Amino acid sequence: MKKRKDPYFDGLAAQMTETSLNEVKQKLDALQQLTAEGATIAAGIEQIVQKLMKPMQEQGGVLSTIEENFQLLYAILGKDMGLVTGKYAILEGTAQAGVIYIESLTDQNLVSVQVIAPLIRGKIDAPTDSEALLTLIQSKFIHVPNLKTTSQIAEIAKGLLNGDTVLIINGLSTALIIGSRKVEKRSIDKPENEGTVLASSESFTEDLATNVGLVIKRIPTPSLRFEELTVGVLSRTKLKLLWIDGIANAKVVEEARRRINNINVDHLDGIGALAELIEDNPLSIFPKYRQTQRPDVVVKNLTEGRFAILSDNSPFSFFAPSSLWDNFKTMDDYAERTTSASYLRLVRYIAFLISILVSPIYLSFVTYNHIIVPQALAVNIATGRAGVPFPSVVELLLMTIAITIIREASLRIPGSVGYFIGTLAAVILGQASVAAGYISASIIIVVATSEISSFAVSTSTMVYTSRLINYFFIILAGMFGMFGLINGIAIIFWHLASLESFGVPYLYPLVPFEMAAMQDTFIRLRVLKQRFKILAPFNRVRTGK
Amino acid sequence: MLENIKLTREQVFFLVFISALGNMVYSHTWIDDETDRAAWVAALAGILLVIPFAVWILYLGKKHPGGTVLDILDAGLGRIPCAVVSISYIFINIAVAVAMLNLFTQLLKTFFIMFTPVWVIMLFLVAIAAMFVNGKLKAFARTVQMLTILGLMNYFVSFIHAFPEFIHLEYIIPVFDTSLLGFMKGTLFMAGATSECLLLLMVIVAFIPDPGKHYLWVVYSLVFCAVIFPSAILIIIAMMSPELAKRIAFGGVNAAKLIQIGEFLQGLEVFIFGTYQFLAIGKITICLYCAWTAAKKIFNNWKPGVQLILIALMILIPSVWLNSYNKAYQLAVLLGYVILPFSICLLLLASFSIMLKKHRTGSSEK
Amino acid sequence: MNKRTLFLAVYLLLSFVLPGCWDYSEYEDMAQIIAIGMDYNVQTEQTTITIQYPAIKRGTAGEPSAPQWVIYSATAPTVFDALSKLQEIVPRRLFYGYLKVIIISEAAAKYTIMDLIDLFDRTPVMRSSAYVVITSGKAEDILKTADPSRLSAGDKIQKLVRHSIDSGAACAVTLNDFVEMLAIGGWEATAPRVISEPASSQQSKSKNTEGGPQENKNAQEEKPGMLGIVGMAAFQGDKFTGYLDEHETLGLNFIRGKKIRAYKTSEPTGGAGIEELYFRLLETSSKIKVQLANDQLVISVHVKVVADVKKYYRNEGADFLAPEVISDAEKKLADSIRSDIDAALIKGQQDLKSDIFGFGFAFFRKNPKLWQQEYETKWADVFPNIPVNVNIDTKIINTGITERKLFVK
Repeated sequence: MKKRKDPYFDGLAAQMTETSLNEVKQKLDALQQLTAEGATIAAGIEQIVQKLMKPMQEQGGVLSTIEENFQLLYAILGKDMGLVTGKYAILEGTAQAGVIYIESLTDQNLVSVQVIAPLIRGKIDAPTDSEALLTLIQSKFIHVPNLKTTSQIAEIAKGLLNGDTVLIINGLSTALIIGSRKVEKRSIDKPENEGTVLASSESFTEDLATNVGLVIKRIPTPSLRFEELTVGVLSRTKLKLLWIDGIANAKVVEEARRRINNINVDHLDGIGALAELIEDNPLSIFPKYRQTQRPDVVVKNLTEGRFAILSDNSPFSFFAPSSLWDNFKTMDDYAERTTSASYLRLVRYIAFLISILVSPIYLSFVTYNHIIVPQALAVNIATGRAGVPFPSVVELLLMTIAITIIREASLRIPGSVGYFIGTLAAVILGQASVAAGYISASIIIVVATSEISSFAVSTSTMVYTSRLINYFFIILAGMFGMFGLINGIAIIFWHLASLESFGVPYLYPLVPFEMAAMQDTFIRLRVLKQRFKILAPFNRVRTGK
Repeated sequence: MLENIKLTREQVFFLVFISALGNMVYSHTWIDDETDRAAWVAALAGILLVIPFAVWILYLGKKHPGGTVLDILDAGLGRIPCAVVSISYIFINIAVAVAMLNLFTQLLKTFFIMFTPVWVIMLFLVAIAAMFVNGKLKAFARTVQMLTILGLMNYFVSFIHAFPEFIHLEYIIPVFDTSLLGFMKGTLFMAGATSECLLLLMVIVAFIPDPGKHYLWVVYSLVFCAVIFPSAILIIIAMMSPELAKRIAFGGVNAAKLIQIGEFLQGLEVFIFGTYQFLAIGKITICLYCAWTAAKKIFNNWKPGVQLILIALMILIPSVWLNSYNKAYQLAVLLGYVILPFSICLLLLASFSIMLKKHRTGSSEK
Repeated sequence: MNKRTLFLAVYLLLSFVLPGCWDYSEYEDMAQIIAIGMDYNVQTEQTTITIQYPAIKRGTAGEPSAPQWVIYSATAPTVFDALSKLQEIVPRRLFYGYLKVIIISEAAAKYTIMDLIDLFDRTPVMRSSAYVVITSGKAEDILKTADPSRLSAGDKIQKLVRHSIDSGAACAVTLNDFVEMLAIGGWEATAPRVISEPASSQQSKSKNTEGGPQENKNAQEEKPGMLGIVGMAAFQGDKFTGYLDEHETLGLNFIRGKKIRAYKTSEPTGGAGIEELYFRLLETSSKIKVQLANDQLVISVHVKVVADVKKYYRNEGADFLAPEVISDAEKKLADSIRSDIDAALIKGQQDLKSDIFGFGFAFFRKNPKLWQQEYETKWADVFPNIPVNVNIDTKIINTGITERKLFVK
């Protein structure tokens, strides 16, 4: 015991006798020893656990008996995960086999019919040694071609979690992993958010294999390449990077691969999260990639020289490099006639411009640049505004926010009630506020026009972009009128000009100007004969090959 | 030291176009007294006169690829003369920017926002310009491309509405009603006013790929300018008679005030001034960039961000202090007379230094 | 990239913090002036400015009420003083951006019009597309004349000026046109003339103002009456010289080549039972040619008119309207037009001695050097004596929807 200068302690110590102090000291020493021992024991246990959990290099092999393997796998995966085990005498009793799989992920019928049954019924002529036995079993008795062999427990665990069945032969140090995955999945449906009139209505589902099938059936050529990547420590999401060899720019594909390999995240929610992780400029409001649920869109862009990424558990696919103008193209454009398609596309551009410009222009005309408004309209607006307590800027901002709230709310309100609430909100905010004199009628018109035209764009991401740009312009216009608005336009242009998507400038056919590519940007002329230069630099001719 | 980018043909085209227009859009009325109805012809001739000098700069660039004209001076004459010339170059750029900023701000204040303090508007504009310069030149060049096209479309679509009601052919038909001397004076002034583009070219020539072969880009750009700007003057003269066109302070905006579209729109100046705003932003950014490049060269790239802010302040503070349209107009007129001789001197020095360099390397090879 | 966002953030921050919205103004705070009248009192040398604007009142839900028109006037030594005095009594901010009509009284046009013109030309807010009209009475009275259809005086005058091409009694002159005519050499300014007729006998209200020092500013009441655009006022330089009546104005419009769609009748040739033809003019244009033959100027005016016949003779004339009949009618029309032009030329050259036709300008266009060196200065002396040859080319393109006379049986 150290000497302390603590008066309280000294006072206390003075009250106790010598012997009792010694007792206390002994007990304290004993306690310390125990804790020290406990620490070593804990360290020992820790080590064992580590050894068990490590992808075992030295010790990670398949153990000799089936039962031991089963116990090990129970320990690794946990008893209540739904592991089903079975031990059989196969090949007329020449060997013992153990089968293990996770019930909810596996096609049990396949296991019993294609794996276990032939093994039980089969016979071999002469007992062979272990390695040959395995090869024999593989070639003759298992009726499933999707097979691998392994001798690592880590592989086995991974396989089990993937829905594969593991076949362990007693005495062999190699196990067979047989593909037998069957998960519940959605059937192919219509795309909810990307409706079209004349184009196909298939959409991706959450199952990667199905999605891959949908793409392959549209490009059944060998130059369509796939590369499988896994991202996410916990989620181990499987991604497939697709591109068409010989058309896509190899540098761009390489860049994509590099960025995906650099991802270091624990759980990948879906394509959206992936996009944010590999995007060029995640803080910008403009999306530099496209997400879509439609396989025909993906296929069209693949043939133009872009690359795509499909992911497990996500019905959306991601493709890049994209430019600003791609957000205004739909598959309907290519299914309709040229003139109608050009007209519709132009209308979409105009709608986007209206959605970002109508509110700030109204604001600057009403508060700063009054001269431009015709006199009759001026009297109308002034009469409408008489008695309104808020200044125009505040009015406009309030109504814009209110309509955004209505939209968000109507997304979440369940079915039947949703329509009712939407109508009620519109009526309340519209009619009643104007009648009561809180808002002027012209503001409602302006805000509604702006909001509705923002939906006319073909991707829903651009809706939010247009809303944000709208707010930015409203604030600038509210402070300086047209001067502020035009400054805002210059800034947005500059921002757009400095964006690049995987090396391709964001405003591609317009700013590094390419005449041939302009045929499919603002309007759609006849079917393009040439691919865009930057996207497919070495294989530009589309037809004739 | 300089960014390693190559400008494309359209970018060079539009950069030169915007920097040639610059202060000229306001100060062209200076010689209207001398040239009367032939003002647009004088503008046409004046702008075309600058083409040989622009090609001269590209020729110099061919001899010294990847370097600006200031680099050439450095290589040929040594640091001290180069520093002296660079400093005067910086001051001229700042003067051009100050004039432009003031002229545009007064346009805003007279027409639209009368009571906003001048420093707020100028701060806004200079901040935008500084932000653009700080980003990559490529982004700015692309922005200039788009803004120029938009501005031109805006301008001409608005003026299309002036036909046929407001255009009076009798105001323009007797075209040459002035003396030859007046016409020559006008042409020379316009050439001087256009030579602001030479200041930009001296710096941009480092980024033009293969300047010797691509001199046509600059020629086309100046020819385009020579078509656009005089036609704007022509329309203005046709709309209000030349006697009135002499008096206007703000170019196209005054003229756009007269255009009416039925009873609905009583004057399109609110839209036209957007073009002038794009022009102002473009020109101020260009001057800031040129001055900054020259400054970076003299001070050997010491803290370029601080240099940028300093130069921006050096543009802002004299503008706020000057704060007067008429004084800025005088400054623009003065610059119109000064820039061309200055550029010619600079180019002569540069050619001289190339000859010196060749001499030196030639003699050292022997 | 980081620096860029930093810049953008600082920029936005400054944008939020700095401005106090100095120029922010809402519509309901403004008096949207649509008409301005200028009077000048020669004895006291005071200018009176009268303004008219709509009062903004919130109608009942859904129903916009017809706007009430408010008139104020103020008197001061100069135009600008009067405008500032107006702001003392008008409860809203004066906004000139919707100006439609500028009414100038004769006295003001003789002495102080240039003050107003320069003010309006230099201020961008004051629209230069506003119409300029001259009145022989007081501009105040014009503005006070109310129309039973609730159109304000300013609105009414604007519409009347617009429709004057249908009557040919005037031609529209905007402020910009007026300034052009003032500035261009060899062309004197003209402006339409407005007259007002009170509805019934009304005594002019004596101004009963309370409070002594306010006698220079007052609000006005509207009186019912009628407004008309009849004839033009002519200027010499910047001074008003005289009026042209309808007849002479038609002639002036023909010479200037303005588009008029007036009704014309052929000259009555006297005697009972002889009637006139009615014509409706469709297109008019003119060319002024100047010839200089050994120091003697000769001006020829070629007028080209396209018209159709609206009424043919009742009792005489041919039955079927054959081509010779048509050329006869054309001659009659040409005579009628010639009489207008002659009247205008007499008035312009002899009475007013001011070159309102633009002959000097035509001369300048033909021979700029000679004009600038010699004739510009002495044009006022030369002009009244220049012989003018008038050629009129009329064309009648149809006679309406019938081809033969109507016989009453």
